[in-house]
Amino acid sequence: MRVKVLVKYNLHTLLPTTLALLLVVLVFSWLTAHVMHFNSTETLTYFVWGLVFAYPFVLGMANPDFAFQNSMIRPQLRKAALITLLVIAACGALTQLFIAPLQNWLLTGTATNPVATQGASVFRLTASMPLTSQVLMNWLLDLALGTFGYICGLLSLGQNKRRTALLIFLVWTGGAALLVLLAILLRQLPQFSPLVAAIGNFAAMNLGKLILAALSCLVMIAWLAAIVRRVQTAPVNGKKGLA
Amino acid sequence: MTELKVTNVAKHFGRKNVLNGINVTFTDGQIYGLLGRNGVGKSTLLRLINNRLLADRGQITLDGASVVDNEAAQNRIFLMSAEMLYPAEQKVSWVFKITKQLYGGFDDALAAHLVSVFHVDTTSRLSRLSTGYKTLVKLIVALCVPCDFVLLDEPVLGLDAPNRHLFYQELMATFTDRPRTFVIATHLIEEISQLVNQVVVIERGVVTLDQDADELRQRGKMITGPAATVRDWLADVKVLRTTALGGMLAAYTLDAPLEKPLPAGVTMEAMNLQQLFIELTREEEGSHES
Repeated sequence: MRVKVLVKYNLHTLLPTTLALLLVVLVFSWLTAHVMHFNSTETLTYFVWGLVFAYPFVLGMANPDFAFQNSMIRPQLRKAALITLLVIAACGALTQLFIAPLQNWLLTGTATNPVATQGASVFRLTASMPLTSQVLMNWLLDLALGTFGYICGLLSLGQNKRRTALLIFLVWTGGAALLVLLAILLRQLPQFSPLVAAIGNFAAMNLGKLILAALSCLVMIAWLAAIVRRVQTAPVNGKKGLA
Repeated sequence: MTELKVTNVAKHFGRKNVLNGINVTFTDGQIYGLLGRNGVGKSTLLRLINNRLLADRGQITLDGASVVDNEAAQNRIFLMSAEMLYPAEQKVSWVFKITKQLYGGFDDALAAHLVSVFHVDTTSRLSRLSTGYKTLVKLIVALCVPCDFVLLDEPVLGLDAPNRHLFYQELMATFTDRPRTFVIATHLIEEISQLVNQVVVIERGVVTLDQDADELRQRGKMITGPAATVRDWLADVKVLRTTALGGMLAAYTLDAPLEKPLPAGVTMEAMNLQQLFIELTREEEGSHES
């Protein structure tokens, strides 16, 4: 029951944030395309999902005091965070089908299905992959992204690590933004071969996510180590040691 | 008897040891005053009990079972924080509703009564409320949750004097209707002195006093008179502090030798809870004589 209430609360908190971010990205993508002449629609689609996925967990799950005030306990919080993550990931996968056409429509006046365009433009290196695999890969990368936010939230559970979680989040988003920008810039240089351009293209779309996945693994290891240490030292039902 | 027992609990933040082996037991049907100077760890202790923080060592048990990640135990404990932890954009009515959902119960009748007494607009968003009204909303929640142990951390923060008075009245009324344990951490000692029946004082991360409030009031005495006579009368007694002015001496003690007759020229007055607290928690500075 409590988990359900908290999931509902998290999603409720997320909604206005998501809408605001989408609005910002739509404006930004229009500006970059028309003013800076970047072909960055898809890049921004992915980038916004990076923000959308990580943001609620940093703001929501990384601030567990609300839940603790209402006697939520850590296992319940983890479960609630995981369920929220899965719901958002599923919604994200579905919404992607609508955002890119909307952006395309804003840019070109033509609504195009992003799945249909991905094979041609986004995944140049993986163009031979079946369409379903591409979509699956996309979804998995998004899930990795969300996992990162989830871990940020968990890191802060009851340990007053909100600042650390926020710092990790900012470093990642800042880093990812720089990487994407670099890749886009590299792609503009004519002296690079088509292969480099393709790599740049791929990087622009996915490097941030791939690095994020690697970072997630690192953070996960650190987090697990911290948990193990805590479990070893925290008294459980009056006994020390692993529960 | 229901017992919330804190045994040898320690907690540090960075290099600062906030709690250094706290031992205290809260029993049912009591109102505790949790006293201590700024930064001694009162809030930390309450947060540890409510599972928001984890202790470095020691254990906290409710009826013998650890409260750490124990849903059944935490269902019986409520902590009202000094901060507003509810989302600012939500309405007061939402706070009541979600509390009911999360705790599986809420005294709606009492909430309606308190809303009327304190003139709280339940349709207001929390962000629009003044500090005092935010506190009132939190207090209404704290009094209406179906918990056996209600921990109040600075419960009257931002409340004006009439509302504080009303709150103390309502607290006593609900306590009489449904006896449960309240632990009140506050600096407004004089105001709660008539409410509490047990006093717990924390100093330097440990409990230095845990006593029945009436007994404590009876013990706390200020002896004044000629310095030599007072010193002589209190010869074998532990004195908390003395202040001297000219040839006169004022001595504060919990252990006045009441069986001995008071010498001529010496007077003895009872100390109120606030004076006692000041003397008990005063930094070591020796006797102050001028």
